[in-house]
Amino acid sequence: MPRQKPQLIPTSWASVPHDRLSLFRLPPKLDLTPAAIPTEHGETADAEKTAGTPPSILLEQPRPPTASIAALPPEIVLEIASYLHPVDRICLALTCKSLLSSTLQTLRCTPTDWVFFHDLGYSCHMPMLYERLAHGWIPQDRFRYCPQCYKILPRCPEYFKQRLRRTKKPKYDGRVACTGVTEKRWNSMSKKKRYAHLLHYWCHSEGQKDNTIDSFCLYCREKMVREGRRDCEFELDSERGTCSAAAEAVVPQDSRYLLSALLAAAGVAGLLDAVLLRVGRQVCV
Amino acid sequence: MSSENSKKLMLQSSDGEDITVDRDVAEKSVLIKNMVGDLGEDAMEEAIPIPNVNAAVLKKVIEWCTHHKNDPPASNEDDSDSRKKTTDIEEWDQKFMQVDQEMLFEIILAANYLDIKALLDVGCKTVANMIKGKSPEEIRKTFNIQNDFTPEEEDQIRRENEWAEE
Repeated sequence: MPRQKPQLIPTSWASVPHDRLSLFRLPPKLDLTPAAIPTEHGETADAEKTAGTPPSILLEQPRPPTASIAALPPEIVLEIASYLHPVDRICLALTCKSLLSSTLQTLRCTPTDWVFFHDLGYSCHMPMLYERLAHGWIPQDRFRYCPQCYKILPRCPEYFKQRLRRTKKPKYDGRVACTGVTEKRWNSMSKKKRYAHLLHYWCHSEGQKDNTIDSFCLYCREKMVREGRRDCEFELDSERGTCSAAAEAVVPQDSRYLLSALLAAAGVAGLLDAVLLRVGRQVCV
Repeated sequence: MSSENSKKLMLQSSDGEDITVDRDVAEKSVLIKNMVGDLGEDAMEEAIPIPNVNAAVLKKVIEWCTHHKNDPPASNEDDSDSRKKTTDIEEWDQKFMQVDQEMLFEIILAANYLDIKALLDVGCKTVANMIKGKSPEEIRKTFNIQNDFTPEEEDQIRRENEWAEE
């Protein structure tokens, strides 16, 4: 069996996880005291508009104005969170400290919670969380989401260079053929060239672009459209480019997870890059 | 005015406006119902102060109570699980909740204060539906929430939860 990183990425959560805290772990030293009164334009202006409500500055507690989600009493936030899928609860909790402390107890999902959301046919795929975190929470200059392996990977050349050394040379098959390269040409390519080719395919091919864009959150999609580029194209200078190439290329080596992910997603046409499937088999099996 | 049901109550909003409302409508609020029950008929001669709710919000709440006055009584706590199973909102309520966010949260707070469980549910479902499927950043934008986590704290959370490879 390949090395295992069980806590990292199962394709989906168990319907009743053994560890009820597996959803979210609070760092032990995290200070959950909400920040002082927001001084930003929107907040104070809103407070003053509220008829009959004193501006937040006059309130004893350093809280946003009354009529905002962050200022709702915890019991109401709990009520709202009770309607939310665990993934939505995490996203809500990560918006600000007061909401994190209010929703903390809902992140300890009971078996009933899990069964309930499982029954509802909610998509329990962890990628759902990773995508949202990658595009709305993880600093994008330091991390990127790989839609093929559903992982959040660092943009760190050393990380990939180290892993690339362990990677076998991908062989030619129908999947590689999808990228538009002939077998003859593929066989004449060096390992480095193959990765460069795969990188080009992963980063620039239209088919994958569609898949990738579909899986992005609205925020990033808008941002990408605005800026006329895709995530893969961020800082695609040679150094970073190599890094990205390695990202996709080495991932299969990493885990049993990928294979199970591929198999699990086999029914989801177009979700996975065919090339990666090939590389994944070759390296993992 | 002879039957008890058609009796009127006077509610006084936090900004001093008196609003007349049918007793059976007002009694959708458990707070008012209990108050009237405790104080008896005499209390109905004077305006009942509702110090936490302003006139605009109180009128919205009364509008909701009027529309729902013939609804069967709220199910008891045992049913709370089945109630939570869906965030579906009936059409009239959806339209009713199409207000700006400030009003939405004011209605939720008022429903909580006045103890109108069904209205509180509708409000919370509405907010839940606004949160569903969004990333933390999208939620912040939607509700104008200021992120008060420092980058270091976010790093701590990320490491603790192993959300990214390093």
